[in-house]
Amino acid sequence: MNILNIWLIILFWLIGLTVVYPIVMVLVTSFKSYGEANFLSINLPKGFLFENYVQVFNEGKILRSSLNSLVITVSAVALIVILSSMLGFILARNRNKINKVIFFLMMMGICAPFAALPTIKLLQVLQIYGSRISLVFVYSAMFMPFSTMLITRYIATLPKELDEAAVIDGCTGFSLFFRIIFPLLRPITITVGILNFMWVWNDFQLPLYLLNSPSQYTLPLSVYNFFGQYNRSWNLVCADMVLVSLPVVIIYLLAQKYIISGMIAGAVKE
Amino acid sequence: MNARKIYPNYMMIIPIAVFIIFMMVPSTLGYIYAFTDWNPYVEKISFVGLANFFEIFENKTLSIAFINTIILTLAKTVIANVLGIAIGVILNRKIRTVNALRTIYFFPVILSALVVGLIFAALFDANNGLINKILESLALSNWTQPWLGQRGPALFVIGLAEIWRSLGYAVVITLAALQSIPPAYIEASRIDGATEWDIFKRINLPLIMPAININIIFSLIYGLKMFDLVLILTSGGPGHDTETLGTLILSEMSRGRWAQSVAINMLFTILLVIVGGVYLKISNRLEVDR
Repeated sequence: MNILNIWLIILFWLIGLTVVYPIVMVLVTSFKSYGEANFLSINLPKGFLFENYVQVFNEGKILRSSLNSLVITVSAVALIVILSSMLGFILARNRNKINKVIFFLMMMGICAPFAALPTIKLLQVLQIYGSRISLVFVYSAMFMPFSTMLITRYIATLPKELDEAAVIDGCTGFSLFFRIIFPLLRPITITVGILNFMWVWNDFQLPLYLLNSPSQYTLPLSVYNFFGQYNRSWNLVCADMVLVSLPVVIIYLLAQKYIISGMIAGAVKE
Repeated sequence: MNARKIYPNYMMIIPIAVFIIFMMVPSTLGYIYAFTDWNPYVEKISFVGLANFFEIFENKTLSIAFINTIILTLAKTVIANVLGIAIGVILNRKIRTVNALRTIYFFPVILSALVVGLIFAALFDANNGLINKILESLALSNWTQPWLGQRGPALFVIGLAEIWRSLGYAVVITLAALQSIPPAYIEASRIDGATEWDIFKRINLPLIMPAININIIFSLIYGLKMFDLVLILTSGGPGHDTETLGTLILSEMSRGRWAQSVAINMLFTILLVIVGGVYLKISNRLEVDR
């Protein structure tokens, strides 16, 4: 039994190596010179070159696109959390026929693909095509269904007596929601917030379709374009990849518990 | 006091407005445009009935994209889930360093598809990629190839990248579901003389099945929607050989075939809604069971 376990540990670390190796490769390559980076490997570079990062910052317009990403992601996440909580509150508490239909449409929303062209057309009509705010709204509509599902399920587990006590004290509607319910949702709103942060931050399909001027580009989109221009310069591309991943990796290491529990909540029925 | 006053429907107006305006309106608009001759050059859009659908069905690209999407989705769903369950079940046997392993296995799940795509583009680079280097050093030079330049190998790399990024998810879901099983069940069956295999087959598997079912449906939905990885690794090329439905919609659009693009998107939606309907059915049934 013990021997078996040792073999299993070895086997699993070998599998783990298929994850670790590429990541170390990217990290190491991001510090190499152009010539060294040509041979993608985990051999240590002759000297650690931070110039790659400087060059990426200057030519890849990383600072500008990071700010765009940050603004878009934070606004979208805030909107998603607030809107999904309000919607989930009503859907969970007032289960009439119409609300069941709304919940059903939301679930369909999880499956529906992104309708790129008509969305562009619509945004043009609304005169916000190509703007950062348009991305905030489209992300909200796109990710609200899943978040609403998680939050609705969570609210359904909160005892209804809470509401009744609040109602006696004269709290209904918005005041019941913001004073009593929303603070209680903290565990699930943190989870939903972090998941959406990662999804919006990492996404590059929407910016690809919906942004047309480089000054509005998000980080992943500018990296994608950078790769198109410099696809032989793996050292620079790797530096770019490190920069794109850094925020989500930091969040992952700090809030692993919330991310995993959120993903599980999506798959495991309570 | 009635529910309508305590939980007023007007609280849903803003969320639903955002959902309707930015999700349902464009989708519906697309279904209407699918029956027109919409393109960048036409001044007045007119209805053409089913002409777009006949055209895209005659076009070989759609069937290639459809087949690619199905192959990739099925391969990813089956392999990632089977491997994920196996790894999860074994990790659950209180193996040492399980926490570190779990963190590592889950790591790719958080990465952007962009980063995953670039990593695999680097590994399978025809000239300097690690994979070709390894094959050469193992004296398997005739196996080396321009991986992303031909349909079969390119699909293999795309599928591998997709499995790499979603395996950790299946592992973590399995582990979580297993850990929610009351230990008393296992002890009781041990006392009754059940073997490890019996315990897995008769107790663990049925109890983690709901989680796995849902995980499979999510794998199917996100597999069918696969877009970014393909775009980065091959952009649907060479030619249209590795196009998926998601990238075909983009490539039709960028060639000015707008009506055809939305027509494909409509078929795509139908496909996804069918899969989603199955998901709803399964999850409702589970709700009744409990």
